[in-house]
Amino acid sequence: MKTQRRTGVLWLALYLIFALAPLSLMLFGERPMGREFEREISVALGFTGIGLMTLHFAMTARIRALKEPFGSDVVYAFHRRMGYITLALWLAHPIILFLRFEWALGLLNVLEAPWRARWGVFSVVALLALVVWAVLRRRLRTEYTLWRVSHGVLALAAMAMVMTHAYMVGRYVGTPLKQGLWIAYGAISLLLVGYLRVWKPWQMLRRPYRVVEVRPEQGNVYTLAVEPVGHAGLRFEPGQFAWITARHSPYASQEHPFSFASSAEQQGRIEFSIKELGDFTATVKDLPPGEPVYVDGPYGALSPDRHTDADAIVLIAGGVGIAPMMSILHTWADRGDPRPVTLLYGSPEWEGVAYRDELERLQGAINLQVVHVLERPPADWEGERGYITREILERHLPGRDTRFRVYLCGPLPMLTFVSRALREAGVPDDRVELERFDLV
Amino acid sequence: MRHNNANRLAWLYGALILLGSALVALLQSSAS
Repeated sequence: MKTQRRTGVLWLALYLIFALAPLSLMLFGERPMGREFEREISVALGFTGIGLMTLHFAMTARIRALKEPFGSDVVYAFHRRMGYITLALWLAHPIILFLRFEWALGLLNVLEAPWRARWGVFSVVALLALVVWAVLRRRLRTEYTLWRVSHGVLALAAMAMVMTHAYMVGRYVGTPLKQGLWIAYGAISLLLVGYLRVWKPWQMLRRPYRVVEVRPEQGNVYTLAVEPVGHAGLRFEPGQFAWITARHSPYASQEHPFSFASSAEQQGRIEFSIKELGDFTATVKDLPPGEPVYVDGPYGALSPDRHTDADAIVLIAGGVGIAPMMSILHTWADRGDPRPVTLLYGSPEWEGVAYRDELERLQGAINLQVVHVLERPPADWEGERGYITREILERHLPGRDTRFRVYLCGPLPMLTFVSRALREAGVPDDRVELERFDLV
Repeated sequence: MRHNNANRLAWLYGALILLGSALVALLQSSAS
């Protein structure tokens, strides 16, 4: 835990250094003199904007060491926020010039402007399209894979064009050392894309899996069981997830994130929990036994294995956020862990409660108390109803003298709501681990 | 780290980048 915090701080410091390093181009060596402040700040913002762009490739390359200290969902949340800031910098660069210099507006005329300006305009348009599309993806109902591939292609294109722009404008890139820094930023971006799209798929091809069975559960959830072919499988912690490719080559960028639902103690047969939501998830149930599947993982930080100081654990799941909890419970059973587990499980209706029979069985096998919370309970329901509120938490959380940890997984609105309720119920933030289920 | 922290950190980094850029631009434009 301590090492992870230290690694986290190191990554955050490196991030800032990489973001600000391009500014050094303006301070040392050969540099144009006596130019207006507006022009210089415009250049400075443009340069840091390019620095940030490279860092986006690093955040999305699925480098495990980078995601471990924070959790993938938090890294993606940060990627989104920094995406807005990157776009703001890329837009501020020309807008400051337009406001200060009348001639600058003429550069927008891409039919007549010099090529060095055209590349700049094209790169900003590409980044703007990329961000707007990412924000509106759900509303536009863009198919997931199409969006993801376009997202990457637009990012690479924007990066290539903006570097061409900076190089052709030629300020602050006169010496080999300064050119070297730019080349390094470009090369790092390319290497990161290569790592994600060439190296990783190659690794996945070398360690294939095959479908054993696809089992329907309640609530349009399917359990996909796979086994390793010609290798020992992978080690994961209960509560983690992996990226899965089925029906396509790992090179086809068709992978989707799913939680492990089986015990972390059983590597010979790994189960994933998949809710039928759209495009890929709807076709999972038709996967025949024997079909090859590729697995990239594990990822995610929602794991009780990371905190050994708890005398009891509380799992809070909303909807298909139950998947990582199933893995935690099965692992508990396999290890014979005697520590008490409380599961608070929020669902819309009783009919759609995934794994409810299995939970019933697990209650007999481990020290588990399951509390179903239904939004629309049947008429004869005597259990908890509505959302998981402070009152419900206070009724079921372990007593004050128990050192417990809370693991929370579900869609974002539920996480926000329950986090607040936990705080109101007196559970300190540092005892709560949470993971957003809809990652991307 | 929580989502709120990611949000706050992004704002902090944005502010630092703005500050750094302004500082460098000031230094550079006043250099002769």
